[in-house]
Amino acid sequence: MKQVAIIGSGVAAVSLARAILRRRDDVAITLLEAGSDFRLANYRTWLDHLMTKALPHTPFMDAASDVEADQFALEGSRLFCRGGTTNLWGGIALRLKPEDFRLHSLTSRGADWPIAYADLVEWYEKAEHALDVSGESATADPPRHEARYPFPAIPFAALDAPVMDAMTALGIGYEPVAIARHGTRCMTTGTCRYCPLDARYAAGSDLDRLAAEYPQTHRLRVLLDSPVRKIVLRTRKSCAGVEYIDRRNGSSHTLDADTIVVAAGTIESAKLLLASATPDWRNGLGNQSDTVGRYLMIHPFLGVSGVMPDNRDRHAQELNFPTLVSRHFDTPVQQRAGKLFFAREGNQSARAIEDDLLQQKSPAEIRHLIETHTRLDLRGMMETFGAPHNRVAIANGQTRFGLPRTRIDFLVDESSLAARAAHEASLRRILEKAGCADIRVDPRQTPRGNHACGTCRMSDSPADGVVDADLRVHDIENLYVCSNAVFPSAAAANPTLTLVALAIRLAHHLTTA
Amino acid sequence: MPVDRRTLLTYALSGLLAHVAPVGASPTRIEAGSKWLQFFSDENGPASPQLRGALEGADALLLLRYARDVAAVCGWEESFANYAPRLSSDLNLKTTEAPSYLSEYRSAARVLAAAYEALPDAASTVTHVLFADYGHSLENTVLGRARKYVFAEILTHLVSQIGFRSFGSINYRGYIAGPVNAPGSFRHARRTR
Repeated sequence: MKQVAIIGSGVAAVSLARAILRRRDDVAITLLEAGSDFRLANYRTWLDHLMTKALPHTPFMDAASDVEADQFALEGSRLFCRGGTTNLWGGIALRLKPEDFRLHSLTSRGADWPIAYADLVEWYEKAEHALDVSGESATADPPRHEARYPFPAIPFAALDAPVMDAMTALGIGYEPVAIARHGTRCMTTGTCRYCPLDARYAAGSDLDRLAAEYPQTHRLRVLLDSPVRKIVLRTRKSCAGVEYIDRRNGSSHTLDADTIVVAAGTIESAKLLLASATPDWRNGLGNQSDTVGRYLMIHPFLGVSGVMPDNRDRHAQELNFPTLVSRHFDTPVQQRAGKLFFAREGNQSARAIEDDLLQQKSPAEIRHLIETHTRLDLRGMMETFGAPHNRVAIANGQTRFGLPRTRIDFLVDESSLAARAAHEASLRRILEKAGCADIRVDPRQTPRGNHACGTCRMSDSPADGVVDADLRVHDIENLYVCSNAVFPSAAAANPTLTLVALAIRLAHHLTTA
Repeated sequence: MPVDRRTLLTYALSGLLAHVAPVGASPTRIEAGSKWLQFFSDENGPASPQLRGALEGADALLLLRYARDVAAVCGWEESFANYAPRLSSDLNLKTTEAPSYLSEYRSAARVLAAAYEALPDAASTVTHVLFADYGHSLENTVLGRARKYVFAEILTHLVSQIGFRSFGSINYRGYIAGPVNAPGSFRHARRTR
């Protein structure tokens, strides 16, 4: 039996494990997760989330003290638990566009991918099915080659209407959201961050399904509370296994493996390669060009909101996810300055009637506020470009998950601030056209790690990257990275769908090689 | 503890009860009031979360009575009868599974019992337990904990299951309105792409 060790238990790890197990019956997989157990779709947990509004995921988030950074926040942007960060994500599932794979060739900025959009098309379709995506299949940009989403697009909400009218008048395109919502399980509970019905894709639940499919522990094992401290080499070009700690008793262990896949997210994947330095790899595995940890990219979030001119029908935010999105500013024209993806997204300004009542507003007063003060929000994320000085490194000390603390150096570049201002002006024009009053631009946030990528980027050559087009670490024959860390560019799209496409593609590579 | 002038002002200003509050009523003494200001717990989360069990019948009825009275004051009484079994079942789950709210619910029930006995009607009782100002912080006190862990949480539950409809919505955070692609689970835009 061939042994594959996957470090992490998030969406990349689970998608990869399933695709390998289905293709080969002579492979055994062990997932090593630093965090603890976490279960979804528990009614009592959901009831507490409903009644207190607290997130049950909080114990699995970074603490502020886990990170040394002047201008970067990780708290709330990722989870250390069984199933990882998709236990909390919003679920927007976008393909990158063809030009995103040729960023440097087209703009002289950032880096190209060593693969093209065409190389991922087949895997994107499988990823959309793996994530139970609801979406509009009849779209041409990016080309779908007749691929159909597993579930139909979710209708536009009533609150979208004034924005749709304004965008039409301005010649700005829009479309229904493509989102990981199971089209028959979703019952619109309005509590998507902790869905009681398991209708938003979450790798924790997917791992339950996978474990049920492969109950034999010799095929699939999940080791929780098991932070991997080091990848152990057999020779300069070959790994022997991993060293990990059992956090429950502090004991150290070694796990032998024929193939090792680091699927621990953008920050931890880079740190593990750095922590595994040997005399042959003095700066860390795959780091002969000092690229590991560098070119960290994020998506700055931006938002503009305004008060609806007339809401006599008392429309309100009735769903917990956006239904209207736009990729109008996500085209080759905007690529050089930085593309934008945006949505009408009202969760942050949705009126909480219970809070109004507890602030001693009368029902009549609340109805009046809904009619006269309902806000429309446009929120987006924009593309930024990799820079070598934006980097992840290992800091002294340990987190409560048994992992090294993180050092992040990150500078926001001036050109992205100019692009941001231009995008905010575009969103403002839409709300002005919709007749909104009191239009406000969200203050700029501290850069956050939510969509972090780029620290182990793909490249044709070890001179300018960490892994090759098959996600194999350059010059190490059985070590792979399957994480947003391998993205050479961030584009203006949530990274998860592309990550899953890469994971399924990697499984194909590993089982046919 | 007398209901002082400030509390009466709260009644008068309380929009929640604007049409029923006993504005100008004589001050009412709540004998148990001083106990409400005593320290109860500083646990982050429900007190004694390991103490599990079904809430005693009388206490459960008091919590239901509070919910019914809030519903009545807000004009949602017609929907309450159908909703009450759901609330009972959910409150029971919160005392029988960890982390248990049993200690918090028992303590809040004692507050409600005293308030219902001392105050002239349901509306003023609801207003008092939710809003009465005692002039200093209620954090970690019997009343402060009851407000946070019981009265506010039940109000949130109530709004999410029946109250929101009176504000024009057909779906709300926590309400299970039906399949995402079915008409009636949320209000759609009249136009498409």
